[in-house]
Amino acid sequence: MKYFVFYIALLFLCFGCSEPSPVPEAEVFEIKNIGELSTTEYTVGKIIKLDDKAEEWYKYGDRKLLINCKAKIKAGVDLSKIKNGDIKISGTTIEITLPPVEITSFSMDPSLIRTEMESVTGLRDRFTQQEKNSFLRQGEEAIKKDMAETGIFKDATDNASAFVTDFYEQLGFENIIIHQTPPSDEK
Amino acid sequence: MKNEYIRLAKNLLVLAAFIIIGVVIYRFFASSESEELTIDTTPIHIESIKTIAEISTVSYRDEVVIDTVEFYKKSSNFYDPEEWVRLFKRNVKRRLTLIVKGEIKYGLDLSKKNYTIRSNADTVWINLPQPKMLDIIISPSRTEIFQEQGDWSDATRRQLEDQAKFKMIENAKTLSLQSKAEENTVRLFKKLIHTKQQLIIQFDENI
Repeated sequence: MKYFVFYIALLFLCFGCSEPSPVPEAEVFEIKNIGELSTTEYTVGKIIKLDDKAEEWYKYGDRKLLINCKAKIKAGVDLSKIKNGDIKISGTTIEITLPPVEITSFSMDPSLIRTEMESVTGLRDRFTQQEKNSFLRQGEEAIKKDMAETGIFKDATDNASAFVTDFYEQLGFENIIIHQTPPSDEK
Repeated sequence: MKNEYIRLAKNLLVLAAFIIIGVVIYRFFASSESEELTIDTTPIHIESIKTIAEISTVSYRDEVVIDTVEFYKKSSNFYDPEEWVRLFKRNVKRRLTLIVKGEIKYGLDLSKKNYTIRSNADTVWINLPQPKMLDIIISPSRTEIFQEQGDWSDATRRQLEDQAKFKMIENAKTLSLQSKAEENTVRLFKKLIHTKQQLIIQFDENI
């Protein structure tokens, strides 16, 4: 019995002295050539609301959470998608077919995310950072879905036409005809 | 009478022990918040709309790991129960590890119409501002909480995410992406301008 206790204590000591698990390394990066023209920037806000009531008999207490977050979204056209046949020139007239407008950038910066209210009662656990990240991901998805209903695509289309017109006017073209491909639901 | 008090005390002690065991079992098994919760539906509100003209020509994607660990203070009291917990946890009191994926875009900001085009019979000159960092894209869907041990505040998490962002920007700066953005801009403009004239594109830092 005495030896048993000794070995158990030794085992704990060995584990106690070992180093904590290593941190995963990430050195992966990718550089890509792109050609996006962003013409509109929207800043949208959303309140992420969660009411986790104790529905099971063995749970006692509630958990409530309100997070205020903001997202910066840019929309425009991908100029690298313009093919050779999309630009036709005849004298001082240019006819150009622009690719469909799309979301070119979506960012939810951590500095624009703020927990407004957090309440945990009874024997419930506190919200972990893992849970909060999951709620923020859901909020991000919801913003992306709702973006189509705002005027971002129309604004981006109008502004892209205005920019391209101005650019070709400066190049000396007198008649600029722009065809806009309707936005797809890809992104 | 004295015996009755002792019996009552014993009963209360047993009752208290049962309650403590019950709470411990509840904390360990029943109260784990493992189920996937869904947020309530709330509307989005537009805070600002801006007309811009940014041409991004280089995209740089990076992944950064940020870790923070708090160790137990050294103690030699082996009879302290907390000391045994320390051994179980390999001396780690709290730990938070994030894997942050992000994207940085370089390109031209022409929002102020800050470019000029001149031409004569043979040549077209285009003066553009120098490419710069236009976007640093980070979002919760690109962030993973790899390890969370102990309680962590939102402020600490935000601090770690800011560190990750800073590291990403520093990594990007070492890759001379500005000159790559210049090369890609020239390529893009040549594609957009179909002309037999000679095309000269210049980048001016004073624009």
